Amino acid sequence: MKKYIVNRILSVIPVLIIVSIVVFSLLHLTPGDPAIAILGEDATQEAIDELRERMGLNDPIPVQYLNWLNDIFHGDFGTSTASSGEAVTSMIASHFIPTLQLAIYSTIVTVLLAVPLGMLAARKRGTVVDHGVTVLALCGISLPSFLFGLGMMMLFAVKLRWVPVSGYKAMSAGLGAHFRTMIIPAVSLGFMHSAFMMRMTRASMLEVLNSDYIKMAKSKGVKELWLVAKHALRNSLVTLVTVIGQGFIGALSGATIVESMFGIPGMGSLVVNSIGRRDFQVIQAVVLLIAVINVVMNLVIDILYGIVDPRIRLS
Amino acid sequence: MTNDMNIPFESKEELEEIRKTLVKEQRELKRKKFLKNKMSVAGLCIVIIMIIIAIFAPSIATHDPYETNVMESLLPPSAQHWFGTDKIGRDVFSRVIYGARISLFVGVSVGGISAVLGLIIGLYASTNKVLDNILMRCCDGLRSIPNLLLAITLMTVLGAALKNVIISLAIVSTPGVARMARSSALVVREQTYVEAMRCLGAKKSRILWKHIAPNILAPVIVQMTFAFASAIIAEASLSFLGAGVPSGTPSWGSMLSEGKAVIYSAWWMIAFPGAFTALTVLGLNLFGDGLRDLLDPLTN
Repeated sequence: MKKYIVNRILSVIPVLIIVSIVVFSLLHLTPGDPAIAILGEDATQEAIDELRERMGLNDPIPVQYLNWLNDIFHGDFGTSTASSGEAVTSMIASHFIPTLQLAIYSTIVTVLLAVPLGMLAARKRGTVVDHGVTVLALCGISLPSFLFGLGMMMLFAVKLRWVPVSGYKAMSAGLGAHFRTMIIPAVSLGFMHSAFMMRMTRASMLEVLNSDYIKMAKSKGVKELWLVAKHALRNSLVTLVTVIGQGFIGALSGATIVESMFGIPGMGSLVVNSIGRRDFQVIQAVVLLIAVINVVMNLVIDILYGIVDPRIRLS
Repeated sequence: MTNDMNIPFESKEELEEIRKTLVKEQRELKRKKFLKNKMSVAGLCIVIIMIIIAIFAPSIATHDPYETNVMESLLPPSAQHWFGTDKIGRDVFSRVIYGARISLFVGVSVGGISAVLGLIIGLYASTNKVLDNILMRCCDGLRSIPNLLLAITLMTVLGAALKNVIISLAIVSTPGVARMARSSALVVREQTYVEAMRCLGAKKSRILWKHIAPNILAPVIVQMTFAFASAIIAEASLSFLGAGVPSGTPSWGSMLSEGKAVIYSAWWMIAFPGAFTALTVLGLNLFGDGLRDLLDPLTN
């Protein structure tokens, strides 16, 4: 087990290095001088020189990369180049909570939708129920998340007026108000993701139900409930771990568009607002952070696989 | 033993003839199998209709998609304006029709570029362990950045232009195709016929391009249709966020974003571009599913 975990962790390091190089070099992809790109064409030479000095753009690129990495390890993502001049780290800190909340809620929606529906489709294989679930999943895959969100917005906020069109209330403003602003974004995000997960749950449940040991247990006369609880469940755990983990990753990634659409002040909105301001430092920091969370979450999923399924850890 | 005993045919020509008939029969069989799958045929029809709309946009559109008319701001659908008008009086129907051009052009280009690049990367990764490690770690690194976030970042850096949307989305979708191509190539290179070519002393590049590449084309093509579909979603998302094509260009995503601003008064500005986006992606996904069942039965 220990060896498995260590191996997994070691395999992640090169990926993290590549991610950091990619994110770092994004700034240098700008045609021309990054300082001019940030300040705009009509900036004075002094302002450009000053920014180049402050961002260390006069150093050779490998030196810049190492300095940048060093700063990040000390929790310093630089300062926002937009007028505010705020530290990027504190900007991210203040935008992190709404994103995390949205990710958790939408993961709950994903699990609640995908697992029961996927299992149902597998049990009723080939019936109307199964086809219905498959079509639903296909719709979920084909609708861009913002389109589904817009539809929900039109129905629940504009027609029925149950919830506000956009805006965010922190938990401290009262749980009711908080969930009223979060429910539609969470459902839009969760629904999109549950489509894939439904297909996966169905496939893995079918695999388990068709396996020899389940047939054996059945022919031994094991009771239905016991069969599912004792034999099928443990073997479906891998799927459940995937659904939760991937749902969470998907929510973090997909949050960009849903957040900015529903006016939730999370990291996605932060990025979208930074596009117009050409605030590269902020974008760079958020992209790096989300990519690292993504890699770490995948690592955790892999390790959990090893724990729930010895076959994976030993192969 | 004479050669005639091994090959009981008159000549090489006759052998070639038989091979051709066999290939033809197989194709016929596949065509029949595809046509039997109603869902994928429906998908293909949707895609073809969209392509026709995109090509003949100037003759289908009833108005100039760029022409503004403040007097006709936010009119509901009517005989004059089939899908209504937007805030500055542009005809939504004509803009949706022209939007098909942008969407499909982005989709086809991104699908094509990522299929070619992915195939090349995947093939070369399968030849050499060190190269494989380097290329695949790079792909992993790119894949660990969420697609839309990576595309947004690239767009911010490169600037708003249709060309840059295609470049960004091609960078985003190539790693997925490359991974697929690599794993298929790794299976194919262990096949007996490849081994036979190696024993016969065929050049490495010849084996790679003449024997391995054609055999991994099927999964790459399937992946290409899915890349096509997700590029359409991604382009719409980018334009929706204002990080896509330059503002004013008739793109489904930017129309939806303009529609969101007037969500209380003008449902038509969301409903029509939204329906076209969803329908196109649905068509591509259905077609892709059918194609996968046909070409690549193992993955299903």
